[in-house]
Amino acid sequence: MELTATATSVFLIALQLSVFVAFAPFVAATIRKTKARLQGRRGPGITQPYRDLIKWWGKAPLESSAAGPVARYAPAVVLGSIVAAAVLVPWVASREPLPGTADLIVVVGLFAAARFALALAALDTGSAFGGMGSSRDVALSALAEPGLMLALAGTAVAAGSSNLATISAFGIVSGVGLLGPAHLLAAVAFGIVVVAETGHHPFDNPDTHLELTMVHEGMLLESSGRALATLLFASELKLVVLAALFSAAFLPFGAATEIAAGPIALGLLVGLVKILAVAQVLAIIDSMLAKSRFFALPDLLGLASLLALTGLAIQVLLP
Amino acid sequence: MVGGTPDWIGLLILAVGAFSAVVGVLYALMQHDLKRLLAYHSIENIGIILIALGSAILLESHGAHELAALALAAAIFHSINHALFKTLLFLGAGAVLHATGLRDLNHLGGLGRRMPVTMLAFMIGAAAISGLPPLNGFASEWLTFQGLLATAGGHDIAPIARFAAAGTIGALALTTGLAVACFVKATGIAFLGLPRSAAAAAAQEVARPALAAMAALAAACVATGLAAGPAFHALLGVARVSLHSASGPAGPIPSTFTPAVTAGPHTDFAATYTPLAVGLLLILAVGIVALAARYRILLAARRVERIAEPRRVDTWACGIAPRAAFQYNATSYSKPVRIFFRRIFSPEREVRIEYHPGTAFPSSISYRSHVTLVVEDRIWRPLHALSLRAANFARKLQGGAIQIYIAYCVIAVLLLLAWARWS
Repeated sequence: MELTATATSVFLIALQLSVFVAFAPFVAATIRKTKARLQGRRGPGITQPYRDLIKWWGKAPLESSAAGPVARYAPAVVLGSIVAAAVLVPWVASREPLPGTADLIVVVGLFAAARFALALAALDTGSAFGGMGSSRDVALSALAEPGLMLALAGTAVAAGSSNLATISAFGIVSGVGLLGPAHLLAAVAFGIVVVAETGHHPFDNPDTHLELTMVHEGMLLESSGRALATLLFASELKLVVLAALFSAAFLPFGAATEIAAGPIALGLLVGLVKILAVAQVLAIIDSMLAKSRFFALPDLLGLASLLALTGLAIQVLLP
Repeated sequence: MVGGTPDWIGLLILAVGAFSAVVGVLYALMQHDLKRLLAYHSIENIGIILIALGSAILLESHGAHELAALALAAAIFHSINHALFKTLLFLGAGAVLHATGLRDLNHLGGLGRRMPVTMLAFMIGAAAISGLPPLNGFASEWLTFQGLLATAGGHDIAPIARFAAAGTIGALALTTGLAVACFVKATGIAFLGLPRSAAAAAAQEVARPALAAMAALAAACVATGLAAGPAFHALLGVARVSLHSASGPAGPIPSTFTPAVTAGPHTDFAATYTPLAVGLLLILAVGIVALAARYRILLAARRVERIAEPRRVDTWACGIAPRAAFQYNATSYSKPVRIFFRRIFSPEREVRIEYHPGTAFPSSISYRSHVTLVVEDRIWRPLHALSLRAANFARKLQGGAIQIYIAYCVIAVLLLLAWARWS
């Protein structure tokens, strides 16, 4: 089957994006299901996140009389930035979806853009809880940033490029040789950052609206209707994209290296399994650990940065 | 210019840059005076420029000429970008000052409803300085990261320099994360929410020419971000000439411009960032989501209640009318950072609550918060005191009598003659 390069790109982008979009609420549902099972409950059905999204999407939002265009349009910017990141991360194949774009710093920048918009929107309603969530989220994410960049920098230095497709292809070629101490340290650091960025224990509790502890939920508190549906879907999609980023940078095995029906089908299957595995690990961590005290979290994020820096040091100092 | 410089100078510049960037942004976060906050961000951005310059020196002294030119171009590019968005932000702060007479964020709020153009321009500047794609600040920070990654990954570079570059990647990432926090604070507290003072509630949009100036600079931030490829290639030519006039023949200045920013295909490190593609993708994605929400396409709900237009209600404040004082302000917004970095700031607070005898409710509450700026106290104040003492000593030499000055001249001439005779 011969396809031109453009048609292949369009096909891969459409495939990846539609799978991510269709799959993101399901991943959220599996996390809730696993947590419920571990707590001895049956938990909500697997279609519950879809039904929630459909319900909210059909409702017009209540807008605060204090708020203006920022609160109204921020949800679109948040979801749009995450969707852009979802297009750029190589997932099915270790190949750039759009030429000259699949750069890890760009993906990190798009996540920052989503955070910027959401944190601003939370301040627009003039609610104390919005400010609370917003100020906590930007502070935690700032401390997570060094761990995130250093962990990804390790893979970039090894592969000789910050291009995620090159990193992913390099990982596949290296095979088991990839899994040296530097790589493993960076992967653990990245894992800690994923837990922080997706708002799971011990960083945040996705199931509560308790004002003493909430971070991400605090920012969503004043959202309703379509705006809430957009923001919740954005956070579900963000988890999937972060899992795909983890897989591209640290566990690229299984991604298609050539464009043919067989490898792409395999890449899709393995990719789905990897995302679900990341989600299940998050669910288990959520059930095993308690939410930590907010001002103890910098220690954990500092640990992530140090692990990633150690990994990079091993790579640099011990050739 | 920087060719043949020993490693330690590059390392020193890298270290000073990283220190300046992190401390600059941390100090900016502690400010609630809008102009002071922006001034501290200049310290941060000059740190970023120094980081790029330091990696240029390290790369050049180890023979990676192309990558050194890239890092030097990143430093120049970030200087230009900083000039654009910092001018925009200062004009925005000036517009706020003009409209309200205030610079203190804790008395501002809700300006966006009365000054929408100023808010939009300020927000674009804030996004650019926070390094968000596809704006210009992101492009030059991307290049700075590339310079650091190339230094950390360079096989011919001394291990100490590679490790320093790796550590600086962490410092630069922390800086960009904290910059996002600081500019959400500056923009959000000043322009969003409820006004915290009568002056803020009565603000009027500034005059057209002032708006035009801000709009032009905001457009320049967007345009420089999207045209980062051509801009970078032009600067790369400048960087090559200034590097290689010292250490070798000048490289050719590229005459064809590509839309992509490419980090050195000549060495073992290469990457590409295409701002136009990322920008278009972002606009497309945001636009589709916004239109879908506007026209309720996809899953138009039939079974749930149909309310076509958003309804406007007051923000829920647990049953009482929302007040401006309920909101987070600039001081409370930066509290997490203040506590996270308590070793640096040693924050103190004083809460005083007074009760009327016989009642359960306090009659007055006062809150005072104070942070210690260590760098100022430990480095600049002692230096300042020392220079004052030196000046005091110098004043004793200046007695005011002309005979003494003539005596100084005679002594100086005698000393010079003696030096000429015996040296």
